Amino acid sequence: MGRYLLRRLAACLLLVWLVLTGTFFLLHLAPGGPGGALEDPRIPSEQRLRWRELWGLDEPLAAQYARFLGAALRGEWGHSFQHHRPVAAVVAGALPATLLLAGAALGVEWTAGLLLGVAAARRPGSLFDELLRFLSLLLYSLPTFWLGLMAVLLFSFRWPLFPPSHLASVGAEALPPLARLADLGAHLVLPALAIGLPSAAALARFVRGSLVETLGQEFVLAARARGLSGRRVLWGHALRASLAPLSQLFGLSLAFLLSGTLAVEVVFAWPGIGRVTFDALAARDYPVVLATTALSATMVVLGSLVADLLLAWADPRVRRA
Amino acid sequence: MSRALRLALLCAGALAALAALGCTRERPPAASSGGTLVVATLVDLQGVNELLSSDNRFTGEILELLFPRLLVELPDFESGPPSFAPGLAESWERSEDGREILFRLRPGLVWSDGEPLTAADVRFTFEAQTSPEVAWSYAHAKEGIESVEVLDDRTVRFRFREPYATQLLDANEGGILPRHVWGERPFASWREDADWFRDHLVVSGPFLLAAWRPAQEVVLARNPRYWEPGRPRLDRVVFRVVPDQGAQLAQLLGGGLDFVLGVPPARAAEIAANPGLQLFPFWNRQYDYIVWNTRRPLFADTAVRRALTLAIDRQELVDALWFGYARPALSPLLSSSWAFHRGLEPWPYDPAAARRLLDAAGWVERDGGRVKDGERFAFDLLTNAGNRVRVDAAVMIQAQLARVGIEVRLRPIDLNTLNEKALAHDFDAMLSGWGIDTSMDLRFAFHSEEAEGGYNFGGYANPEVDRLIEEVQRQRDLAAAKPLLDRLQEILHEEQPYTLLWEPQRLAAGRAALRDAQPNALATFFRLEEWWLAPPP
Repeated sequence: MGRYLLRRLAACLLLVWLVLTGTFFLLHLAPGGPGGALEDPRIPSEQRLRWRELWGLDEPLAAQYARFLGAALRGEWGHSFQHHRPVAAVVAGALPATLLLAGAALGVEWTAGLLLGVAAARRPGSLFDELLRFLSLLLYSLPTFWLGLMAVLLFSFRWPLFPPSHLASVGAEALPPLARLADLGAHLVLPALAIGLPSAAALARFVRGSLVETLGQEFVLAARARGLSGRRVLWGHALRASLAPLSQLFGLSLAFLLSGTLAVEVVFAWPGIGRVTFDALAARDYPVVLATTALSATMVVLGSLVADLLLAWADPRVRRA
Repeated sequence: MSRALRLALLCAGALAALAALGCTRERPPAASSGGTLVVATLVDLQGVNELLSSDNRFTGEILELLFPRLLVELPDFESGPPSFAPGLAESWERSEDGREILFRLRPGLVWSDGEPLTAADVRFTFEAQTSPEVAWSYAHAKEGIESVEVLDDRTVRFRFREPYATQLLDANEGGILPRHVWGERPFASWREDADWFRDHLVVSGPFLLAAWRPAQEVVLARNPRYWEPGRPRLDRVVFRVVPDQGAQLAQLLGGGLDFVLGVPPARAAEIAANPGLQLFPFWNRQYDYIVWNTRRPLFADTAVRRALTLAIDRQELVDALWFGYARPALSPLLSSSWAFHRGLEPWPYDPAAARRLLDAAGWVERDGGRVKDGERFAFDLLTNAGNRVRVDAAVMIQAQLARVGIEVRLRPIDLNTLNEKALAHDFDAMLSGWGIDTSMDLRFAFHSEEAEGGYNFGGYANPEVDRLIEEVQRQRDLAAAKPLLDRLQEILHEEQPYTLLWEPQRLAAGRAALRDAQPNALATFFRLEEWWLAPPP
């Protein structure tokens, strides 16, 4: 297991390095630069040169890359061109909002996915099962940003049930702690549903398939023969046995959720990493784009690693392979 | 009831409870002493130090509310050269030789921490603005100023290298900064950490920065130490970052916002017809244009450029894209400005005349196109892909020019790339726009010296235009430069280095309860200290 872990960790590091290298060169080689004041001809050229020096843009690309890589290894991400702040502070300021949203979306995905999957598996081929299959396919095929927009249109404007954007209401800081928490919860509902529901639809299909297969196995028949109630057989035996292959999905969900919040954060004006990345891309704020890319890549890679480890733990054949 | 169903019902119940809280808590009740105004902004505040972050209009406007200038420029540029009202300075006086301006500060000015605001702050501000280490984007505005001297706590003298027309505009550029706090940090380290200024923020304007939650909201609160009694009238102004215009309007209609800037013209009628809302249209200091790259043989001939202008139906563009909230542009000095040449005769939409000019220039019609020396009249038209109106206009122009046999290849590209290509003259034609100030200085776009690394993207060069531009800026009184400005406009009108397209209005919308709001082309939140919300009946 130790060697397997080391091998996988080395592969993860290699992957993150490749992603960062690719992003670095794509950013710098794409037409157009950071723009703004750097290309403003009203500003004397000596002044613009000073900024280029300050931001390290005056060096050859290879030297910039070497310096970036060295600094990244030391955990230094430089200064944001756009915010004039250390990149670490920009990212750290946005990370909690993204983690909160991703956590809530994960909750939606697994709660709804498991419940719907179990419900469908209990009566395979029923009208409910067919309906769920259709809805799962529909939800899974819808882009999250469109789903977000529709959710705002329907549940914020048509029927004003939930706030359409932001993390908190105007003046929420003056509310008592419990009311603030409720206010935060209300703001979380639509974005968490927009991210979580399509994943829940996919998960429900997995749960349903896995559970239907398990329910047909002999140990389930034996449990029934021993006189256990249908509910106990389903929740206590069949579902537990079906969860092992699903554990890998959990790791992959982590990765997808963090990378999938970008569009939804923009739609819901959610102040997270997705928004920071979107704005940094528009402004060609290289240090911020690279830092958020590194963060996303690391999360995706770690999520996959967790998934693989869970699978390896559950299935010794994987370790041997 | 199955466990799954019970759990599902529990989740639904929790959602319903959150929904109930979500709708009741979205807005606090309006305060009686002026209340809280909630304003939408597309972008976030870039920082609190203007010298580090003035490249964003929203940030500039917020910082002017925190750090007022010596004088307040008045939005009366339609009637004459820039005029001013007292700001931090109660009076000002220009010397006989035109090389000095003396400012007298109001008595009893204080910073928000109670420290007095003095002439030393004005001098410190000038030092910071001109420091190469600070590298302020607008430092060029101070190039004409030789020195700033403190005569006493309330008197400061600006000495200029020579007299010129826009001395007062230049002296007044930028808010006054707190020497007693920001002076503690060496200029060399100003650009290292913008957060330091946020942590050491003292202001002198009508509002304090009560909170700034990045990418969420900026909250301004009444400054109790502001010099003007009874102002501001609002208790708080909350600027909510809503990065989508459609979402902003939807929230305004839903009651979540009080004021929105940048209403799409297509939605203006809906706002105007809503009794709960009011529309604020005002002429923007902006015009859109196509610049022809005169360094390319295709556009070197004045007759060809004139033909292109004649073949573009600017009225049709305005009608189709602006719904009555724009007018065709005629001069780089806006038609609403005092300096506009009212004798200019607009080039009509006249495809027949365009064809004749093109024929005379040797571009003959063949196979549905135009050909000269074996080369087809075809070019790339670049524009900013993120600007929907400009992309739509480019499509219409493509169709209009096709009618006279000219092939246009549309190239919508991202703004940074567009700017890079423009500065390098790496384009045929470009559809873009200028936001302009009130100095009437056309040097940036039309002086031949600005063609290398400057904003004269088309590489236009005319010695008489150069001379007139320089002459205008040498005048001590801008009003006296009107004949020179008229001649300048006549030449540009004849030679058409640009085909001017439209001058748009800017549309803001607010709740009907909003009183004394006066958004204008100089500042959307002009005199925000006067705005207030009428309590519900």
